[in-house]
Amino acid sequence: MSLLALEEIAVALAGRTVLGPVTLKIVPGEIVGIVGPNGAGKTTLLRAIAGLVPLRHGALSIGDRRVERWSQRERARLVSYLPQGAPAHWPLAVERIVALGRLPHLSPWQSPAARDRDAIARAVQATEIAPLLARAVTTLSMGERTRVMLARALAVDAPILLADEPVASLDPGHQLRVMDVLKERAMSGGAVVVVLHDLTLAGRFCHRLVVLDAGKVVAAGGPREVLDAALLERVYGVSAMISGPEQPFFVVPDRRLASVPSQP
Amino acid sequence: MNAPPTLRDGRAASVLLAGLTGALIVLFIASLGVGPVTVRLIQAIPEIWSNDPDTAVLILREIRLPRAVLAAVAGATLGLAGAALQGLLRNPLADPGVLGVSATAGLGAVIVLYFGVSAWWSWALPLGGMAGAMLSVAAVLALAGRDASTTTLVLAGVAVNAIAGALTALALNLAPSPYAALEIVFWLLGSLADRSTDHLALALPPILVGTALVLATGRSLDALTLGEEAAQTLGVSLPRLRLLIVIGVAMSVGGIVSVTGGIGFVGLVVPHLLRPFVAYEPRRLLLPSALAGAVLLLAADLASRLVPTNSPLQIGVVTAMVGAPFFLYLVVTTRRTMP
Repeated sequence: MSLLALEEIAVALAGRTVLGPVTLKIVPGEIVGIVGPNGAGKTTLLRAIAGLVPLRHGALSIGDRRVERWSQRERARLVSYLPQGAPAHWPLAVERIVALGRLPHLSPWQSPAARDRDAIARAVQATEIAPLLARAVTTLSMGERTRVMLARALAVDAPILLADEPVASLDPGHQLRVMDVLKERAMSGGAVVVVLHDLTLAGRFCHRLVVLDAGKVVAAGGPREVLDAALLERVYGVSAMISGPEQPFFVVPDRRLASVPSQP
Repeated sequence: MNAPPTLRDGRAASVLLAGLTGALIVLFIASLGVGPVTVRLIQAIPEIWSNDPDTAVLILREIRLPRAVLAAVAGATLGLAGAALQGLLRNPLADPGVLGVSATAGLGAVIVLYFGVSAWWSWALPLGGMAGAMLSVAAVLALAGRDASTTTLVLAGVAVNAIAGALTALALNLAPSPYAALEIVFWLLGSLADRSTDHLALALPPILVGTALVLATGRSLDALTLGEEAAQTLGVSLPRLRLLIVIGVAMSVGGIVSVTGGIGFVGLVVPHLLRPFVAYEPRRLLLPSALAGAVLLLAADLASRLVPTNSPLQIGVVTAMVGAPFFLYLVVTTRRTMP
């Protein structure tokens, strides 16, 4: 039984179809990577799943129900979303930022209970941000801040986690650290959908990849089947060095090819 | 692991609320006691509802008590509105005065005064103020709601203030008689003195309802710290939140402005000063901002009565003298962090 099911969904912005049709099923325990060139519709896909943009066509189901049948609060408990760049507008203490993840579980005047504190503590532990709890979020480095925002998203304790480029502008150590957290999340039964630009990380950590180009799915499946020379040439317009079958997976973009066929 | 900061924050918040409440009570009593006529409060207060009051009791009941209540209500309303608007727009420069809410509420009231409607229908004045306030909050949200950068916000406020100013000037220009013009000008200078208790009694229910609506938005304002998209995925309905604040601010600010006229900068100064004491949390800023607004306006009113001047100092003038330079300072510091 799939946790998240997208059937032929399409999204239009200002009258122009920017995504779709996309059909995708995601089961618990899975990390699905969304890759593709800039403007391919990766963020739009996550926003559609999170309910931030209306669907023009198709059906989206979470669990056993169509999304229209879930209220906004119920949906907030089922899907947590880590936006790209994850802004913070006031210098709140890190601890308070993480606690915001419990809002979907609290009624307006209810204070956090033991269950909420547990979820927060687990999120703090998973992301290793305990030493930062008293700091103001605006004073953190990019790597620290990303982990804090990830902890906020984990604290929701939703079965589905959507993360939009969570490793962008992080150093390799922090990148692996964040990917490890996502992996743990999937191993403990959650479903993770993550937008990535780094194809090596995508290939290493994701069980499945969905390649988007100009709003359409051009390939989907296991990383080694999907990310081959022909696809990289067709979608990104690059030639790349790709690891052999006996090596750990990597993709190193090598050279831009003269013609870039996918550009509109 | 998270116990120590919570405990510390919780205690700081209680101390803050207790301190503000204490200051409010002290200033309220002082406000009843200070004036050209000496009133012995201990003797006068028990007599306040008597059918046969002496002069001192009459002064207390008809002049000082309404004035103190008005100062407290106006300060609380403006402080709370500032805190809520700042939380919604995620910008410390949002304030009923800066955004033109007070000016358009004033315009609504001026139009009512101009046509003399309030003479035969007393609800017209508060309703005019609320309608004006509602238009401007909605306009500012439309102009700056999506991207509340400092520049957009201040420009939206400048535009709304300019329109309100132009139309108010037009009303003055076309005033049917010099007396009508004088009435409008006197009313426009924000003041707590000689205001009608009937108007306050009329405006109080909508002010209380508006205040309750605004106080109910706390959690959603907290979530907005993470930006609109993350807030929505945490279950915050943005249309509902905007509606609550538009209607809440319009009812409370529109209501109080229709009684006192424009009193600026309280909503700007108060939340800014309090924010460090509530660990910058938008929700926990709301109630202290209301209390501190009341404290500030009671203090400013006392100051305006104690400073010897030839003609009585109007409170709107006092808050503007303090608030405008503060606004300038905030623009400079905010531009550094939020371009």
